[in-house]
Amino acid sequence: MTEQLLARPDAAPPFALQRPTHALVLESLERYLGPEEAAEIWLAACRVVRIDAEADQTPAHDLLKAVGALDVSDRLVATCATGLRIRLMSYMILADKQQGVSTMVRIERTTTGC
Amino acid sequence: MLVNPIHPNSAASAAPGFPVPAVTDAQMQAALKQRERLQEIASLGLTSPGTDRILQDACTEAANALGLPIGLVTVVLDEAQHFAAQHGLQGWMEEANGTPVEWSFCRFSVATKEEFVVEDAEHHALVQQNPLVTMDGLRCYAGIPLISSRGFALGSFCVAGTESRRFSDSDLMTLRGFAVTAIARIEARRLPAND
Repeated sequence: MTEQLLARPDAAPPFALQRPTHALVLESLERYLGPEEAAEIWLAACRVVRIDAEADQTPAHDLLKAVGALDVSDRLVATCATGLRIRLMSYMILADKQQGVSTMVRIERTTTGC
Repeated sequence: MLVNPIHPNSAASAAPGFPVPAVTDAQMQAALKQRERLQEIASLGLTSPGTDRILQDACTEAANALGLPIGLVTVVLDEAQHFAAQHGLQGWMEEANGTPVEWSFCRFSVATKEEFVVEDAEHHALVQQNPLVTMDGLRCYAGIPLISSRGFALGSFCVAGTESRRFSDSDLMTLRGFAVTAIARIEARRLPAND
């Protein structure tokens, strides 16, 4: 049962929430930092967690890991990351709730990437 | 056109007692995404981890004073609202420590820099189809905008509950007092490097 649920992490956007994407993350970073710096630091964060920054269908929990890898020593980046983290967490929690995935399974998936 | 989070083409109707904010979608987006406002939030360290005991106590005291289950200091960012301090939240909002920005009641205060009061969310045109109402059962809300010394609306000091209710002048005076305390505390946290 758990494996089935994990196999479709973004199956149904909950409550009309837009599925988070790389584009959403980049747009937000650009508001704080400008386009060049935003692209640079997002690419660096994606490299750290080994996800493709160009992919269209990156699962929310992978995006969350990349947001967690942003260099938050910069106050602007830290503030932006907070907003993104809340948005991604909201989406994941509500999507999981909709699919019957427990909190513990979600935490395991987020930390292990499995 | 007034903003309705789910049905943006719906016209807003007046709620009894308190005016419905007149803010267009473009004005809302411009306010939420204003770079200088986001920079102000960053300079105040408002999303730093850890609990600010003074803000936390203010949330608890405000909720108790108004007899409501929830008290919040919110910071409205471009993509989400962050709970800088909270009393009474449980479930997914506590776990996420915020909500998507388009579900935030406090964004109306940020966009208008005015108080936003909802006495009966099920019959309030701006929020009646908001998932916080339809899914989480929010029914009443009163928020005072938190405006920095540099003139930026950061978020709100607010209370909320799961039953509709009237907010008296005395209730709002009480809430304004807590908001004054909150913004003083927030200003005291301003990071020296940006002054």
